[in-house]
Amino acid sequence: MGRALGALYLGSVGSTYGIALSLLNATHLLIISLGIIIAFRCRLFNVGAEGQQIVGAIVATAFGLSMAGTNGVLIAVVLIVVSVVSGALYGGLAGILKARWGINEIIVTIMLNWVAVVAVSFVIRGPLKDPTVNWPQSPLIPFNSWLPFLIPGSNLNLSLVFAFAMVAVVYLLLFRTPLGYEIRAVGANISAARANGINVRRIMTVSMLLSGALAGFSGGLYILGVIHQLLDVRSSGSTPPWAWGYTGIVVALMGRLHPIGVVFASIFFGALLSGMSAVARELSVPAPLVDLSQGIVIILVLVLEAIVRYRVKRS
Amino acid sequence: MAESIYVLFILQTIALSLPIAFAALGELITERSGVINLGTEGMMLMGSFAGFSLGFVFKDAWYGLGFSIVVGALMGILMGVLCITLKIDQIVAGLGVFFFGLGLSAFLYRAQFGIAAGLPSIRGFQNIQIPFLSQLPVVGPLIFGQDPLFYISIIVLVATTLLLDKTMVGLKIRACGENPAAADTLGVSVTRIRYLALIIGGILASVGGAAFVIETHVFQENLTAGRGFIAVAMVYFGKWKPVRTFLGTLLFGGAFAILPYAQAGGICVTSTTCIPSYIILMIPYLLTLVALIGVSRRAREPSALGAPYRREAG
Repeated sequence: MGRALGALYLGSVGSTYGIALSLLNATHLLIISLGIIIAFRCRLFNVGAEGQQIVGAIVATAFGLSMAGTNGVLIAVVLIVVSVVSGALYGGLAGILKARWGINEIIVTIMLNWVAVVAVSFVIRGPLKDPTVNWPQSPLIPFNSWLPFLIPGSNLNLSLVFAFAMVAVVYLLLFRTPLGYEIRAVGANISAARANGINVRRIMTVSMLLSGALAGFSGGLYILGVIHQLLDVRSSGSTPPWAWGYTGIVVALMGRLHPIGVVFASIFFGALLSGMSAVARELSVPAPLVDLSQGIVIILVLVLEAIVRYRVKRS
Repeated sequence: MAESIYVLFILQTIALSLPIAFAALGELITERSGVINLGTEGMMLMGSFAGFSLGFVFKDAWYGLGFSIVVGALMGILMGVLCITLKIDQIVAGLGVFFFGLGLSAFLYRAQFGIAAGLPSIRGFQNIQIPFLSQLPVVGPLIFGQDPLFYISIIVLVATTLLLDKTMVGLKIRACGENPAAADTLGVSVTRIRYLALIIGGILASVGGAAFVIETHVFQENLTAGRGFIAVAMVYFGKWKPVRTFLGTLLFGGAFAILPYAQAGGICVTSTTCIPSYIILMIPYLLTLVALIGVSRRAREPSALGAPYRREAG
């Protein structure tokens, strides 16, 4: 027990390496949960962050590999743009299907996740395969485009700054722009929104586009900042953020669907994830401990919220 | 012998459709009572673990199947507590149950088996051979010499149809799905009926998960790979009718049955044009999307689907 707590502490907040890993986890959780907020606020349940991240990562890698020899900053900017756009389109697809035909976006995004998982294993064995190794992976993207690391010896990189910038962007979007107002109006009461002349179909599509854009952004940043190449989904380093599409939802709900709330929730979960994997290494217990804890956390969050709501109503 | 290859393919199609069929029939009953259960995938995963766990310990899959019934009922009750008693949004509650089942099944599997050197596996069921009839060509193996799961699924299909259309409970279930306020006025406990529907749905989803692991013999994290969500989609596809839903799942059995042929570099239509194996791996998921788009304009769901029932104050 003492060993487990020690590992939990050192692996999450008790060492420079632990802090760096926790913040790296938090970076990606923050970006995808901001996207999930935009969709959920519109009452669209985007469960497809994983697929949207993967598509963003694939497209970013493809562009990165074809731009060797160009200015590094230019490559980085282009990669971010294409990953955002491709993630947006992949998410927007589910948005259009929902807006046009009322097709359940949860089922669509889950199916698209699996399509993306298959797609990545295809491209790293086919078009994007590194011909110099006998192993399914892509070559490294040009070195000069890699995002600068913030703490030497760790993978924490400039993405962290982008993530916090996104908090402000999403906050302003949701609470200070007409579009944000319309997104929240559609989510709060769809028939009232329609009666007030809001183009519900357009708002649904746009909010899924924005949601997918942020997930794609996270995928692109993971390529630019951490792994610098496309790897198999199951072996993308120790912290593949596309394993966290569902964690992002837990974070978004814990942060009460508010951009400031998810900052705290994603740091908490980022530290929990890095701490738990340290425990798993220390005790040679398997990693699903993390899955278990997040399964239990979400049930607890839901139950507590319901109880609080009940007591507020009674008093 | 060419004929027997087709028979084998049809057998595999049926076998691979059964897990989805069980879950879809359960989801159908739940949805007819007005509750959309997106926890199906998590329930299937828990059922897979339950089936594997006791199937391994007793070296007999029947114990696993039995255990999955208990686990499924508990998962149904969990969903009921969240979305009926606590009145949490059904979609959010369903996602919660999905994550819960995903995490708990992976964790329990590791807790029981550790990081074993070899991959532990269980034995499936022996086919039931009906004397004489099972010797007939084609229909023999397809109808009279099948896996017990096949016969169980037919029983469940018939029972679901009869339950919904011919019994008082079925009438109450449908009433709660179409007009819970009216059902309440007539003295039907909407809460009790929806709990009952969720327990039945949980059991069937869990049995579907157990059926999958009994057929594939090994457990791994997230092994059902979206089948629970495909089952939900199949209920839409089947327009909330048991037989249509059941037949729809056969389509997916077929899509999954092709997969082993796809591993070896793709399926060749002619000697030069081959469909890459990765496209084939995507087929079940793309097919689900096409199926949903195809029926979207004609489907009519139970009126009260997705709405938690609150008695008006007064």
